[in-house]
Amino acid sequence: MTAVLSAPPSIENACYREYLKALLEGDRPRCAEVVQEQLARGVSLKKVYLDLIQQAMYEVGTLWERNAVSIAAEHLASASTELLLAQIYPQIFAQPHKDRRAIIACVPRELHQIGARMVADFFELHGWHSFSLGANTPTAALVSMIRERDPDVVGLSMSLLFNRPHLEAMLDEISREFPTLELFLGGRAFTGDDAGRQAREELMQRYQKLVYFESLNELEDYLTNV
Amino acid sequence: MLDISAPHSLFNAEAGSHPLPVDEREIAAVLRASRRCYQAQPYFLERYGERGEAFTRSDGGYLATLADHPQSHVDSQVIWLARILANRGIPRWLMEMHLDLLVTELTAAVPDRAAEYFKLHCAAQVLREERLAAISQSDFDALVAKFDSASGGGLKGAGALLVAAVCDEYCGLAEAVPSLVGWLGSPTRFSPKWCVAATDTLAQARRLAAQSRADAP
Repeated sequence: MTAVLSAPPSIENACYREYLKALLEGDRPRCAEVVQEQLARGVSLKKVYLDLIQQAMYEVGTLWERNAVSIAAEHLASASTELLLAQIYPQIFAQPHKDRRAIIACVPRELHQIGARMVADFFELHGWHSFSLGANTPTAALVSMIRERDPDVVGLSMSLLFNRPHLEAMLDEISREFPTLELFLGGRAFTGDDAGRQAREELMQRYQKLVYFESLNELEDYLTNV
Repeated sequence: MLDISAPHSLFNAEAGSHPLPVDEREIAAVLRASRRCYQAQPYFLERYGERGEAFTRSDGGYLATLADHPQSHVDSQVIWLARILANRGIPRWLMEMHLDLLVTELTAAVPDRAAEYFKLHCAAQVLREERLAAISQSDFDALVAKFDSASGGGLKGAGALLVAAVCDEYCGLAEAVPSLVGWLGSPTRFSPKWCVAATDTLAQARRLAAQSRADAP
């Protein structure tokens, strides 16, 4: 008899729609149930992150742009998502860990922190110790944390391109203090249009230790092969 | 350009944290441009009141800071902001106007930076070209004149807003017309004659836009 290998389960559209509806309604218990149901049926944490949580937040942002949901609904969805990530965290933390450390931070003035949080979780998922400093991280605080924790990598997240001067000031300071430190860059500011692409290319040319990651998939490739 | 902390003449707490100009000449120019924009379109004050004017000022300040960035960044930010506003009852034609006024006032205030401010003109041109791809300027003007005549007047610029919203709709902004007409075509606010004229203008503008789509290569 030939063994039949089935593909790993994916998030079904109906499930995604149900999750999105619950998210927009602020129904956090239902959101949590959907997530746990998916994990229980064998959907990977990565797929839950990318195809459910991240996808839903992107759609919430698009709906806000279209004036289909209010800014209050968008904030509610963000808060619910952060709570969900916290609930999933024990499952991520249960992975075996190795002696690799990453500090993840949003640049000064950047208030969108969910992406950075997910990046930190991806590091944990691959056995790294990650330290997520959240939104609007002051440069001095980040530098101090780097001295204290001696990370292998520092990841910086930026969602709005107009924060670029703050990012550059932060990169200048880190590069001066820690010239051999690996620096990762990501965030919505650098995706989607020519301006974002141009900005990241200029930054990569200017900072020798800077590596840009377009998506969590790219980061996972790196973490798998490092 | 990065001082975004209050107190600042252009600061608007509701607008969140974004760059604003720090050069006093630029700040004064932005204030003048925003005032002229608001005065040119009584719809702004009638619908959005002083709160709306605060947003016009802070948006104007942010737009002015874009002049320091590459043209691609200026264009993408203008298109992004214009899209958000168009879905909230402010057709992108008003962004064209705001940008034109900003260029005029900023260039007069700081002539040395005319080349930088010209980027805002180029961004306005991007929006203009998209609008004119839907309805030509001559047809646009004819529809506005027809509306003014049929509606009996009452709110300067209303006809242009209706036609401009249809142009935005043609460009894929599904909420552009409903978010405008919910207010500008409301029978609780305007006469039956006005509302009929608004409905007719929208229908005629949509026919022209549909024809443009059919004629597009």
